Amino acid sequence: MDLKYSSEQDLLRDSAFGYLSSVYDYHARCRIVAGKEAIDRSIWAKFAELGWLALPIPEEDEGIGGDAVDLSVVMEALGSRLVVEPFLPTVVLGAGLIDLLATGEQRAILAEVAQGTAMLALAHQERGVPFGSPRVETRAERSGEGWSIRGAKILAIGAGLADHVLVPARISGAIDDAEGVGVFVVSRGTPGLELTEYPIADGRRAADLSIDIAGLSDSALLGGCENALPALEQVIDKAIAASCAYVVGGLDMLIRLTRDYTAGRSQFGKPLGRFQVVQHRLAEMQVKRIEARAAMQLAAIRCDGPRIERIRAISAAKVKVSEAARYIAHQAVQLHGGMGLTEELSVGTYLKHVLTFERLLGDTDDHLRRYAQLLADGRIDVRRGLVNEGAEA
Amino acid sequence: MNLDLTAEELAFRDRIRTFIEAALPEQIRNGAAVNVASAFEYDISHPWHEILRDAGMAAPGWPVEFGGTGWNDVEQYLWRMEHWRAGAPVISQLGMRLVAPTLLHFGTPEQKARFLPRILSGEDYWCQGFSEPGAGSDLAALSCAAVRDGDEYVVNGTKLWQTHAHFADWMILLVRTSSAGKPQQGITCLLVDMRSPGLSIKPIRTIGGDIEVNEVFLDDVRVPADQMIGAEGDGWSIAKHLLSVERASSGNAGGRLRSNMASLMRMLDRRENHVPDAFGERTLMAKIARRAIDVDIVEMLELQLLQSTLDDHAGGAGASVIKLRSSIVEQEINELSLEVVGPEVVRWNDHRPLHEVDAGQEELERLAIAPQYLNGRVRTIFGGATEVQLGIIEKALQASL
Ligand SMILES: Cc1cc2nc3c(=O)[nH]c(=O)nc-3n(C[C@H](O)[C@H](O)[C@H](O)COP(=O)(O)OP(=O)(O)OC[C@H]3O[C@@H](n4cnc5c(N)ncnc54)[C@H](O)[C@@H]3O)c2cc1C
Repeated sequence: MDLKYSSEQDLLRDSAFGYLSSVYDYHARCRIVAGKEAIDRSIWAKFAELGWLALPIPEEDEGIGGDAVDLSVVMEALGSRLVVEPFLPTVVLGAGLIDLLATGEQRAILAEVAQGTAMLALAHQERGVPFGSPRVETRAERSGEGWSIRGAKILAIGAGLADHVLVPARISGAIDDAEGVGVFVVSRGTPGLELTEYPIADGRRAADLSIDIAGLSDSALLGGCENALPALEQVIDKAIAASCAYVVGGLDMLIRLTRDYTAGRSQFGKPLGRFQVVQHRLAEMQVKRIEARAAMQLAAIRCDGPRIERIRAISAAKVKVSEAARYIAHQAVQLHGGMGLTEELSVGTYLKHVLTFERLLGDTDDHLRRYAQLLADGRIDVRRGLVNEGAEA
Repeated sequence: MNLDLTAEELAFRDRIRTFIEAALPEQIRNGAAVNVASAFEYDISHPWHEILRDAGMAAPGWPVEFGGTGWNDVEQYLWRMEHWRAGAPVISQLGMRLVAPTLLHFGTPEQKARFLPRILSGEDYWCQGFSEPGAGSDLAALSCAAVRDGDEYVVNGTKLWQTHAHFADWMILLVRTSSAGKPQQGITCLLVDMRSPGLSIKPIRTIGGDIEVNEVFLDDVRVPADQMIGAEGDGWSIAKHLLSVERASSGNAGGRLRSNMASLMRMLDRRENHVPDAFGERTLMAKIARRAIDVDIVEMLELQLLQSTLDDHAGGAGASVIKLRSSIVEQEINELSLEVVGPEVVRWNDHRPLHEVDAGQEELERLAIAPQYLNGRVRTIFGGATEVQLGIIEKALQASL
């Protein structure tokens, strides 16, 4: 058992927080979000230089071969500044799925991601499909040597910037079958791929995809795999763990901002922070943050492990971090009073991110359902602790 | 980072599990399962204490020279986990977990030699004389007075809420020896023989129907000065140390909360008369999942505390966070247990201890749910009330960068 950061992770942490605090204050973020593409390419290049984009990519693919805990370190730093650059879609979802599925030359994309020359997005969400459902309506059919794909996707974060979009599509079976789904790499500009881009609540960009592609090459199907849903589930779990780390980074910031604001603002003849009700509110926020942080670390540790314990930790984290984040962000706005409602301060932007975090990648009910199902099926024994028990694990 | 046990730790865990399974009598396990007060009944914990003592495992955390096992932190953690998993009672709570660490830290060699072996053997059972009618959360306001008279202190005053004073041989007592300076300065810590002339107790019945706590009256009780821990006026720092030990050991989510969850799941399996419709079932399962998640996360906090990484993020208030959360989660599990059992949870039996009631174990476990819930309200009051912990956490937050 080891819950300490390694010395490399400590260094990574210092460098990540250090670099972002020098370039990414709230005003810098506002400027980037207001731009046409919502990205600062010089900062993206710096991410590549710092090795962040290569972090989870295997060494054989010119990456660094880091684990989910390494990733959580960078995500926490990114979240503390609400960085909008498409790190999650490119590095976690995109490169993550390619790593799990791709074979041979398909893997060359990983090196491009590591070097900062390719951005990716995953377009898995279809309208009206609940979290965790195997339903995929988008269809892929063999046509001659290649594939044709028809369907529609929504809410593909970062798709507007992506050089390649990963599109899960059903190759065989009924729309709800657990098997028969493959993931296709569709490059920007492919005829029949139409993107409608729009902002989401926290300032990032997403796109809806309308797909009617013919003559996609045979090699577009990742790993030739026609049973890709387990990999998709796994990479989405990784993305949830990473998103939790991102949110937790922001929570620390929110609490500091609120602590400092209530120390400086006086009403009724004394600083607000002298009222016990305010002190206890801050303490409640802190307790929830500390719990959220523990949940996020557990999720990171379990990310690469066996499925049941992975799901248990990931869903626990999504539930815990959502609840903590909503409470902390609400109270932060509350204790900033009217100022908390304005765009002049960053507090409200964190709330906007919490709003998007809660709604995407499965909401609290979805994850309670997933956890409860494991309990009901007897897959989780409540008596068993978190330490890995060898044979039983 | 990982949560993997080494091969040796796994072997240790297996050895402990096998030992407890074989050594724990069914009667004790059943009694522990229907224990409704906040401390384990003496007639349940004491026989188990004797079994552990004979096996050399009564005091895992103590130094080996005093009868400890020499286990490291992880091994002690596994020990506690397995203990709770098997449904064994906690032994000699106050003596083992509060008085002994205090003696080990502050006691003279003579005091250690005199008291520790008798705690270890189970010959002496202890209670804690801190709170008073006028001094609860604000412990420094205590007024029970001790005046030096030759080689003795003469103690007069009233203590309130002493758990198991009616079973105890000794009491660790906080008294006021001076009213000069700040209230914290004039406090002294004495060890008092419960059979001393002038000492009397009055039992108090709690809302769960238990005689667990007492009022303790001290009327010219004479205490030899060599039964003082530390020096006159050291009482506050001793008490603070002791309370921090108490706080740190209060959680044990890995064990205690899991055992509560396990009994809730047992109740769920046994439902006969109270099976909800599909909507009710799904809502209930969602609530159970929430509590199970809470337990996972409190345990993670404990593991972080064990590995000294929690305080990096809690500004030194990690143990307070754990106390606060584990007490609340336990209460929420209790509430949910009421819900799982359904309307029949209101059936009440007045007899205490409950394990003496002539009924099947399943019925006793059901009868225990309501009183456990009621008595369980104390979790957020004693050992530093929730509001007190929030105060500590907030101070740490203000002091952090
Ligand atoms: C079952 C049981 C067993 C016990 N065992 C022992 C024992 O063995 N030995 C012993 O010495 N004592 C024991 N106690 C006493 C226990 O430590 C006290 O009850 C506790 O310290 C709280 O004190 P109080 O009851 O006087 O509540 P008070 O101090 O009067 O507080 C009442 C409530 O006010 C709130 N509050 C308190 N302080 C603050 C604050 N600063 N800010 C905001 N709100 C606040 C809290 O909600 C608190 O619950 C026991 C109590 C019980 C019920």
